[in-house]
Order: sequence, then structure tokens, then C-alpha cells
Amino acid sequence: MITSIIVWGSLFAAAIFTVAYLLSPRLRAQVEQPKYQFQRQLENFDNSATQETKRGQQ
Amino acid sequence: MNQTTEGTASQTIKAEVDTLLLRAHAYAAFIALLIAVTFGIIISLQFIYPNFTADWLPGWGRMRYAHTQGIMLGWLGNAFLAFMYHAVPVLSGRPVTSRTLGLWLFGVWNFAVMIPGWILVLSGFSQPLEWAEFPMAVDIFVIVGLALAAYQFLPPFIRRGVTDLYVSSWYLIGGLVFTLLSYPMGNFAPEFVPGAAGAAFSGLWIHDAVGLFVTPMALAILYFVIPASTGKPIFSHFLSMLGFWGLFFLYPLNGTHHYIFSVIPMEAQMTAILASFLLGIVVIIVVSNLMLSQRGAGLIPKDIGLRFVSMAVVFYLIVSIQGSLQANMSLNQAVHFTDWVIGHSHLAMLGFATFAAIGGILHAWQRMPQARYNAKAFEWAYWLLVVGISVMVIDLTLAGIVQGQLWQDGSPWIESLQASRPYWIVRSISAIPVATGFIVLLIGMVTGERGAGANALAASHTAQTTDSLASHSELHDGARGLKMSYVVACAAGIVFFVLSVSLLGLLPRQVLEQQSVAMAPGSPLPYTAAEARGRDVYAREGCSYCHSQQVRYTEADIARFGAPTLAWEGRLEFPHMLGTRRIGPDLSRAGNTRTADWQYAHLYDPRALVPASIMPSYAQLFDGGATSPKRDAQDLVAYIDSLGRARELAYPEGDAAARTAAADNRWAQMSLDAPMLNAHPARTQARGNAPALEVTADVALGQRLWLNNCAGCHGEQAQGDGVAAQWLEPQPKNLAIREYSRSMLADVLWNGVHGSAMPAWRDLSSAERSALASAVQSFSAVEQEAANPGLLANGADVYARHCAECHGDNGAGNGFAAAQLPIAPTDLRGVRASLAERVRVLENGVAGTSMAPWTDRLSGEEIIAVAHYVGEFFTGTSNRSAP
Repeated sequence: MITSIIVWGSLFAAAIFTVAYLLSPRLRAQVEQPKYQFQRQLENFDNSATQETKRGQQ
Repeated sequence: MNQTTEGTASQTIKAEVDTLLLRAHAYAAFIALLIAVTFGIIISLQFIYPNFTADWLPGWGRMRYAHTQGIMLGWLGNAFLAFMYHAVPVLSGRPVTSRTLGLWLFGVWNFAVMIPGWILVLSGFSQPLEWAEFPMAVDIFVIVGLALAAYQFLPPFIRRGVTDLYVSSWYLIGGLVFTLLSYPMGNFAPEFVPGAAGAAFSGLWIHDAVGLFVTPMALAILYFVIPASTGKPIFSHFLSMLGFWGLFFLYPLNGTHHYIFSVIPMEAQMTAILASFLLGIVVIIVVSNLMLSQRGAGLIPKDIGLRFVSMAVVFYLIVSIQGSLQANMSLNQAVHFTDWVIGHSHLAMLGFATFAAIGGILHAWQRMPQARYNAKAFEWAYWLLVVGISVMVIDLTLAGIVQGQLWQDGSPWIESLQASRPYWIVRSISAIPVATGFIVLLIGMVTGERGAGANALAASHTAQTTDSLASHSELHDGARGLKMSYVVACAAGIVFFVLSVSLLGLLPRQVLEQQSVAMAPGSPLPYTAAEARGRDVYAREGCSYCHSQQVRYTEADIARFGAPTLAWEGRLEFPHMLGTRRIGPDLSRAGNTRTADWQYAHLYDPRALVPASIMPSYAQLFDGGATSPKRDAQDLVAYIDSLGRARELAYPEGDAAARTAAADNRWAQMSLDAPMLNAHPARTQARGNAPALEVTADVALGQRLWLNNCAGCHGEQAQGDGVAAQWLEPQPKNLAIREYSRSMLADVLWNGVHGSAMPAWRDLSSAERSALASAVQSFSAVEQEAANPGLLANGADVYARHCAECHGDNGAGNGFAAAQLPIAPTDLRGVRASLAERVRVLENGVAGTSMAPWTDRLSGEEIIAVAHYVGEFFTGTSNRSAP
């Protein structure tokens, strides 16, 4: 009983999430947004670190 | 110093990395790692050289405690904290809460947790719980440390706002929150919930430690370093979130898979097995996403941080699939308790988590302008660690398969140790590249040019904000409609944890309590004060790392150990010591199996009794010899002798009552219907019913068996002068001055000699017992003496008056007084000592038995006469005609 709930519950939740992701461009954008934002944060950090290093070298 | 960066179009970012705290935790991590690995190497060497010890060195079990806690809390704990000082500001765009708080956190983690924790477990203050070995006093500081870490690293995310959190942030937040919840549950609950019910909570923690602490932190690193090093966003944030929720839902439900085939309710076990299988699928999704995110980086990436992280991904895939397989019942019944499990945990902690942690630290290190950075050393370290850990894990996996096979086919336990030895040697050798790799890594961090990593990074770096990134900046504001979904998600996370504790902790506890009440005998005996103290010694020395205390519901366990453990048998076990590994045999039915002098001799010098044993010596529990046990040794033996006693005293009436009470519980019925309550092959039993020996025998096999099993007590030449002989009473027989009939040897080898240290050898095959019997007969140098009829008549008269009451009219050892004696009188039909020995026995008696000296009751002539007479009872085949 419990194991069935876990199997079907987790598969159902994953299926709902997947279908919603595939059907909704808005959700897709929302879900994928953080990776781009994080990439910008990384680049800003690396740019800053690089500048600091170059200043240190000068 | 601090590193800072500011500004983007869409969001103000102020990533302030506290490099002081980062460095402090990184150095502490590597120091802790080297200490923990040193403990690991010493205990691995003791598998090969069990006497590799010294007075100043703590016992094996204590170092094992220090090893695991050092790896998890000292190494990985510090490494993850170090990485968070780099990652949290970058992920959140906010600095961590404060440096002062960070210094407190560093102090608590290292000076209130690690150092006292190590000192305490090495001094004998510990918990006998896997991954929870530090005592409760230290646990409190671990919780304080976790709370400080949460306060240090969570507010930046809250200040930032929880919309659009990157997957690494989710993992860091989840790891911090759920470790704070699960640590107290796993470390405290078993102290207050006895037996298997407590083990259910332990199982949860064992897996939560990996699933809710180590894995989230390691995955946060992987998802951070891969895009940071490749310069490209991860392949799919959708898949990463699917993985995140899948893992946080399923990991906590895995816990009970550490106790499959135990008395824990089968519903909980099935839930854990299923969750383990589903987890494998989720991990495949996670790993696929991580591998696709590395596209273009090459099989062996140039960036050293990415290279370690990339290998961590591979290890993660293997260890997760391995875990799903090991939870499968058909595989589990064969390989559980074996070295494959140890290989699995090393792959998880030293492979996956350690490579992730190193990758994260090196990634951050490379970005610190003032940090020393030796790229060559890191290269070397990478290859040393890949080779060392791969060899170690493959080796332990093979060892586990071999051990499982031997246990399944009923081979004598000692054979699994002998077969494991080559694997244990390879395991210790593999520690050389592993330890060297760690040392080289640390050297790389303290040598080399200052800022060399940052300089290299600067040389290859061009400021960029790519078009693809810019095009997604507009989406940010438009997606705020789903802001509340994060609140729902947080609530769901809490629900997952509560669900796991309910399903795998609280419900099993309730069921087990009901079973205990229904099936336990009316008044089960508590431990005596000595037994309770002995239990503390057993726990303190880590005996449960090698000896489980649960007979599982499997055919192999029932055949080897007897009836599976019922719920009520653990009612006094605070905390439980069910165990997760068997290097030695299970001890849940060890009581009333060996004599106290055997136990003392075995603790004092295990190899004196069992030459192939790898058990460490506990000579420190004695005052210079096995016959001088200190109180700790006396208590420990008292405790061991109490194991299984309650069930035995309840048997068979208690089992009959329990059978009625648990009529609908087929697992309980399996235990109650077991053919033997205690199937210990060495346990002595009443004479008779021994299978006949084979006529022919393998001489070489017999000699080998003699040296491995008998020489410790009887001596290599069977003269009763083995190393252990001095500690045993009655002393082992001198077989050179005795001859035995094969039927007598069949009986003794099958049933042992009750009341003496001579065990039964029922785990030997018929061919082996036959070979051993022939070896025993071959030692005999007894000459047949001439018998004078007059002398024999006089001897018969003396025998009838003085000896028959014990030895019986026909010398069968069945006189009317025999049943009252602690050690049965010798059956003179099956054994004949030399005439000189018979006279000696009559004159001196046999210490430790009821055979008293007869010199004050019999004259010298009478002694000679009866000595001649008893020789006539022997019905065996002459030794020299034996095969």
C-alpha cells in the first residue's frame, strides 16, 4: 500500500511536472531562468577576480 | 582578504567571498582528512597483521570510530563549509552573515566537535552507531555547529529572495536544513528507542547522512563548478530540479535498506527497497544532465577543479547504481555485511563526495589571488587518487562477493577470513596512492607561486556576457507569478522528511512494540550489573563493527546461527548493536557457547586459539595474562555469555506462546519454526547422534585443519602444549599419549566436550572431520601394554568399587553419578591413554574436572591394577591401522 503510493505518487508528480514544462513556454522559461542568471553571476565574479589579479600584477 | 564583485543589469550582485574563513576550513579539512586516513590505514593493516598494534595505540574499534567520523565531519564537513564561503556569495549575490559568526562556526566545528570527539572516542567514550560514533555530548556541539552554519549561509539567500534559485542553492539550503533535522533524530533516537526500533532510526540517519548531508553538498559543488569551468550554463535546469526533488523525496526513504531481512517490519523494508530502486533512476537523470553539461570539456578536462568534479560524477553514477542493486533482496541476502558494503561506502565518501569536495575547493582556490597554487601537484594528486580509490573499490567489491559466496554455502567462518586476506592486502596497498594523493594535494595548496591559479585564470579569461545569456535576462521579471511555488516547495521538503521518519521510524517502532508485547515472555531477565557494564565495554571497543547482533530472516543465517531475532529480544538494547558488517560471526546467540576461560584466552590472544583469526588482542583488559582478567574483561565475558539467554530461557514454552500470539505474522513464524534456536557450530551438545566419519581421509587436509583449528590449544605435535593451553582448565589433552576410536572422534568433533574449551566442529564438512580425525589418530604413540590376568582382576574390583559410579560398569562414562558432573566422565571405550598417563591421572586427578587424585584412597598397587583394567575398555581400532 505505502510502496504503491510512493511509486505512483512520485511518478505522477514527475509526469505532471514534465508535461507542464513541455506544454508551457512560460514555465519552461521560469524553470530554466536560474541557470542563465547564475552564469552571469559567475562571469561577473570571474571578471572581478581577473581584474583584481591584474591590478595586483601591476 | 575579501573578494568582491558587483553589478549586472538585472540584479545587483555583491559577491563577497571571505577568503580567510575559506582557507581556514580548507586547511582544517585536509588536516582532518590526513588524520582520518591515518586511522583508516592503521585499521586496514590490522586486517593483515592483527598484532600490528602498540600499547600507546587505541584499539581497532576506537580507531574505526575516529576514522568514519573524521571523514564525514572533519574532512567533508570542513570542505563543504570552505566551499560554501565561496559559493554562497556567488549564488546569492550577498555576503554570508558575518565573519565573527564564521570564526565561531570554525571554532565549534573543529575545537568543540572534531578534537574533543576524536579524543573521547579514542578514550572509550562513544556511541556504537554507524556514522554517529561521537558521544552525545559532542553531538550537541555538532547541532550547534549546524545551526551556526544555517545562520551563516541561509540569510544571504533569504535576503536575495527565493525566486529563481539556481539548483546549487537548492541543494545547499536543503542540505543545511535537513541535516539539522536528521542529525538529532539519528544520533539521539537510538539511545532512547531500543533494539530494532532504534535501528530503524539509525538506518534513517545512515542514509540521511549520505543523502541529506553529503550528497546535496557534493551535488551543489558539481552544479556550481561545471558551468563555472566550462563557461556554459548547465544542460537543463528542469532536469536538475527534477533530480533535486526526486533525491530529496527518495533519499530519506532509503534508510531501512541497511536492515533488510531484519525484524524491522517488511513493509518498511519494501518501502526502502523500492525507494532505492527509484533513486537509481533519478540518479541516472541527474548524472545524464551533469554529463551533458560538460559537453565540450573533454573526457579528462584541463581545468583541475572540473577534472575532479567530472570524476565525481562518474563515481556518483556507479555508487548509486551499486546502492540500488545492493538493496535488491536477492543480492542483499548474499552480499550484505560483506566488504562490498565497505567498498560502496568508500566509493560514496572517498570517491564521489571527496572528489566533489576537492573539485570545489580547488575551484575556489584558483580564484583567490593570494593563494599558493601548484598545478603540477594537483595533476599528480588527481591521478594518484583516481588509481588508488578505483583499486580499493574494485578490490573490496570482489572481496565482498567472495565472502558472500562462502557465507551462503555454509563454509566455516574462518575460511571467509582466509579467502579475504589477499583482498585486504590489496586494499591496504591501495591506500598508498590514496594517502599520497591527499598529501600531494595539500602540498599543492601550500607550495607554488602565490596567485598562480588566479593568474592562469586571468590569462585565459575574457570578460563576457554572451548573447544567449542576455536574451534570457528579460524572462526574469516575467516569471514572478510562480513565486509562491517556492513556499510550497519548502513545505513539501519538510513533508518529505516527516514522511520518511513516520514511515521508516515511527511506524516500525509502533509495530515492533506491539510485537514485543505480544510475543515476549512474561518476565524477561534484565542484565546483571556486570553484564550491563560488559555491554558498555563491548560498545566502547567497537565490537559491533565486526560482530552483528541479529540473525537475519535468511536461509543462510538460520542454518549458520539459528532462529532469526525476534523484536522483543532487543528490548534492553539502548542503543541497538544490530551491526552492518560481519568480519567475525554474529554474536546474538553467543551465550552459553564457549567457556569463560576460552573467552578470556580468546580476548587476551585470539590467535592462540584460532590461528587464522584477525581479531585484535584485548590484552589491555588483563593483568599480564589470560588468567588474570581485569573487571572490564570479566564484565565483557559476562555480557557475551548473556547474549541470547532470554530467548533460550523462554524456549520452548515462550516460543509456543509467541506462535499463537503472532499467528498472522509469517516472518515471526519463520523464526519460531527454525529447526534450531542456536545453531552455532561450535556449541557443545549432548553426546551421541554424531554422523559417522568417512573411512578414507585426506592426510594433507587433516594436517592443515589441525594447524588452523587445533594446534593453538593442543600444540603442533598434539602434546597438549599449545599457546592457549596454559590458560584453559581442564587443559587440552595430550593426544600423543592417547588413542581414540573413530566413533569417539566423530562424537567429540560433532558435539564438542561440554564444560571444557573443546568446541564442536559442526561447520566442518564430513570429509574435513574425517581428515581431522585421522590427523588426531596419527599423533598417538601409545604402545599396547601386556596385561596380567591377576592384575586385571584386582583392577576390576577397584574399578567396581570406586570408578563405576561415574564411568559406568562398562566404562561408557554413564555411571549413575555422571549426570551430576559438570564435565561428563571420560568414555573409556573410545579413548585409551598410555599406561603411564592413566597412572598419572589416577595419582593427580584432572584439574577442572571431577576426576580427583586417588592416592589417599588407593594403594600404589591398586592404582596400577585399575590403570591396567581401564585400558581394556577401549574398543577402537589400533592407531597404526587407522587410515
